[in-house]
Amino acid sequence: MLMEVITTAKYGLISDRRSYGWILTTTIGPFFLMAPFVLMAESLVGPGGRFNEPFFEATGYSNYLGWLIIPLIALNTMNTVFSNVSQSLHAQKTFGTLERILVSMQYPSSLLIGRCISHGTFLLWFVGVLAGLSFLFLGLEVNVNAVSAVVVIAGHLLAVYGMAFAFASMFLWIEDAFIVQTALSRVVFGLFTGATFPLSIYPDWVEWLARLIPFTWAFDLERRAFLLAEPLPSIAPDLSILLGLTLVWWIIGYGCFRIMLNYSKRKGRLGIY
Amino acid sequence: MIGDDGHSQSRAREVGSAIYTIARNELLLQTRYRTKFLLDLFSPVLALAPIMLTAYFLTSGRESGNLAQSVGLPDHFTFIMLGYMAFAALGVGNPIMHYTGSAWTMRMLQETGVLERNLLAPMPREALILGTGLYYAVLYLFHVAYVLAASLIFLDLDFALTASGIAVAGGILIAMSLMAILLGFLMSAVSLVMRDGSVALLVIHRPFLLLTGAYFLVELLPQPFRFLAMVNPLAYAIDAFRGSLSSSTLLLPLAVECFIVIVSTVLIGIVGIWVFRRILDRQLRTGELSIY
Repeated sequence: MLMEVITTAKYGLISDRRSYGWILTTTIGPFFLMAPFVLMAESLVGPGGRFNEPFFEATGYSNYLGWLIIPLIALNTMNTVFSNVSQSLHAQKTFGTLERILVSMQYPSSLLIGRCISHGTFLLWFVGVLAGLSFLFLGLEVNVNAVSAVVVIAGHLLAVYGMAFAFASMFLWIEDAFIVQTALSRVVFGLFTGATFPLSIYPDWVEWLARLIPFTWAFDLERRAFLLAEPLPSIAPDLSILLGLTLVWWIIGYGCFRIMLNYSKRKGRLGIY
Repeated sequence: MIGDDGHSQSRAREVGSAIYTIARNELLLQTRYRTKFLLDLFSPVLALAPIMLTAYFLTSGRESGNLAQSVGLPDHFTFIMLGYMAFAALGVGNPIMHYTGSAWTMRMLQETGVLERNLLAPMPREALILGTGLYYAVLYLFHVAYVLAASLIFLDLDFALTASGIAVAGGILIAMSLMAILLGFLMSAVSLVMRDGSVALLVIHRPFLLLTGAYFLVELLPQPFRFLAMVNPLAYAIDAFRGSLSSSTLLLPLAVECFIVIVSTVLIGIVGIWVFRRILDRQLRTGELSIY
């Protein structure tokens, strides 16, 4: 399986190098989506947060820009991961090569894991540029605990890839799944993870459901690690919940992928044409 | 002379019919992908939801002290909704909508290998963009209509409605729809040259969200983005629409903004069509038009 994963990752890197347009798009594009949100907040509470007293009361954070920007960077990063994993399947489906590739692979999941590894190298660049632009143009200020930050990011990425597996299954099932995936990652995760407003504005049952999404915990932990510099022992209880939910999503994702793959093979839905 | 007039009228009818056929074809094509079509119809609501909820949270309600001070419009729902409606008419930058617009259609025709064949049809080549543009303009106006209707019914917005204001807002919406169609020429040209539909997204779609101030104050933009927003005619179009239905404009007087919208629509059309023709001619000559 390792050889299959490495080969797929290598193939992913080679094919990504053939087209530079997407790198440019996914590097600068998310800043254009994120910045209006932050500027909207600034328009409402005033430059420097003159009118943001209610914000203090609700969250306890003083750095309202950071409170918004940190999860927005994470949200955009998640979206690029979902797009990449799902697109790798969709592209193979459109070009009609998915069936051929899956015949030559002993472990079909290595197609996704390999793509994830090749895309992982791009993520460093993606997050770096987005954070750099936020420091430069949006006045992002952080107060980081490096150990907590690294651990939380690792946990978050694991959760993202677990869910990406589940999304990839959707691509085997729905013909035009890209738009569904975009709506899910931009709207559902934007609305129900507390990325830009606290979940306390919802009724209790919605808040309870939202807490089943690992990213709800991940965003909160990232804020605490990047803005309040909380040490690892302090975030450990919530971190363990994040890791537990991540494990559940990996199991769901892997299971869904296997079921959908078998179903698609049986029904002849692996190729679009 | 009478014969010439008759010929030109019949030619105009043929071109009109071709544009209508292409628009209808685009509709039929889009409805084949039901999930995408459904989301295309309702994406503005989905895109607006996180914005409105965040705004509501940040101000613990609907009143913004900063907007009251700097704009004289304390109800931020009115400020955001009016800006967003105008923005929806342009149809650019909505993060939920993907693979939409003339550039994507051109890209799809190029990928599926039917672009050259479609260009052989006895009609002006521009009709291809005008037809798809027409479909999207109608879709975007539908977005504006139901966002406006929902705002009036559910949100009790703080409009300052006058007969002249409504007429100006209607005129601006028509101009913006025209702009959206004409921008399709530029976006298609970019898409053809770069051989990558996502680049049009980067060059034209995404920046417009930032450079128009649809739901934030342009004065808060950091340089160089503020300068780019100030030379962006779409920023004036959005401000004029908001100004005509609320109390006042933020950037320039309403009459000046309307003048800028009209002039820029004409200029975008001239430049867009010229660039599109040049690129299409070159690609037809060099055989670059098809991907394979």
